Amino acid sequence: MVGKLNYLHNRGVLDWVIQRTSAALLAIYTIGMIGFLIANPNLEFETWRNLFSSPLMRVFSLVTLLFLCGHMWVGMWTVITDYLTPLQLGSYAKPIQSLCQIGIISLIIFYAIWGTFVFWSI
Amino acid sequence: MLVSIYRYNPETDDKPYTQSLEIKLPEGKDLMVLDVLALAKQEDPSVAYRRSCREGVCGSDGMNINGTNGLACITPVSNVVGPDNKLTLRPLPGLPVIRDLVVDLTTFYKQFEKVKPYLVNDQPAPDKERLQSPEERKKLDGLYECILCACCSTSCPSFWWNPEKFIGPAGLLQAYRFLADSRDTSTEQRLEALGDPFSVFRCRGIMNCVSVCPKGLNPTRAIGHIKSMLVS
Ligand code: SF4
Ligand code: SF4
Ligand code: FES
Repeated sequence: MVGKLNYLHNRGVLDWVIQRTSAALLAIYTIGMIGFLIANPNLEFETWRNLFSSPLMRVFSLVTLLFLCGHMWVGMWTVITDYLTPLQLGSYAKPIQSLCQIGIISLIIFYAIWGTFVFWSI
Repeated sequence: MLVSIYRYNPETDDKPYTQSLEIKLPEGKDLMVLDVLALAKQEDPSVAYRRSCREGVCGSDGMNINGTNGLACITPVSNVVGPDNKLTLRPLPGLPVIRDLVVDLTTFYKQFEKVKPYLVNDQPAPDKERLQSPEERKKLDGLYECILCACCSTSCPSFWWNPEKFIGPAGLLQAYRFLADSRDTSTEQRLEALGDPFSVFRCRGIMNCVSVCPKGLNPTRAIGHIKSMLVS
């Protein structure tokens, strides 16, 4: 298990920890959701609403959403810096990377706000 | 046997081409790939490749043999040639070609140098030597044997994409070799230098490095150890 996290101030270590913890949390959330759906075969809107309107579930959902955003960012940043490098794109690499990063950040922020709005309005 | 060899001389050729040679192998003998290359060189003396020890010790004849990196001198032809009886030799992938099968290993060595591949100890030297217990010494097994043939790093996609930033399996195996050494006192500085998103963390654990290492070493495991040291 993660101990003192000595080197957490290093971007690489931080990204790695974010990726692993968020993956674990997302897995728990997904399994929980599947479990709920199996336990409620004839799901009514009311049951569904009750589940998401409990404060605990709200917080859990929002935290998961936050971790999902972190997971997306680390993953996409890695993909960009793997495949859009000077090796493939020459001097265009830097501007193209920046452009993609801005796009992805905007999209993630949009998802975060939209997601929060959805969970909060149930 | 049909031997295809990647040929390229940047000074005279516009682009690389493949030269095919029909080589007659002696009956009833399983040659090593390096022996076949020597026969090919008799046919055409202009073929360029590196070799020295011809017994898997010096690490100079790493090349891509029928699609897989390996040392030509210890790779038996029967291991790599299928029923079509064809042998294709290319330089190690991902590095600039100096000529034919000879690649420029500068980036590879630069990454090796980055990990400070030598013992650092700030304690005063003892009269005789720095002792290790047999257990401490055992931790270096599977690490110190690397001959820097570059077969692993040049089979690693992460190294192809970011050769300047990702240290690569060979360098990281050595990084761990000194992290694991009980006589080394700079563990903290070593780890501090590896915590960025590229040096270690570009390893995606797909183990190409492990499957090609001619010395049977396991860089992926060493990289895993480094990652755990960084988070614990
Ligand atoms: S780890 Fe194996 S493949 Fe990599 S350089 Fe060392 S000996 Fe060669
Ligand atoms: S395990 Fe890591 S170092 Fe080895 S080939 Fe895969 S990405 Fe490269
Ligand atoms: S010639 Fe030395 S390792 Fe093959």
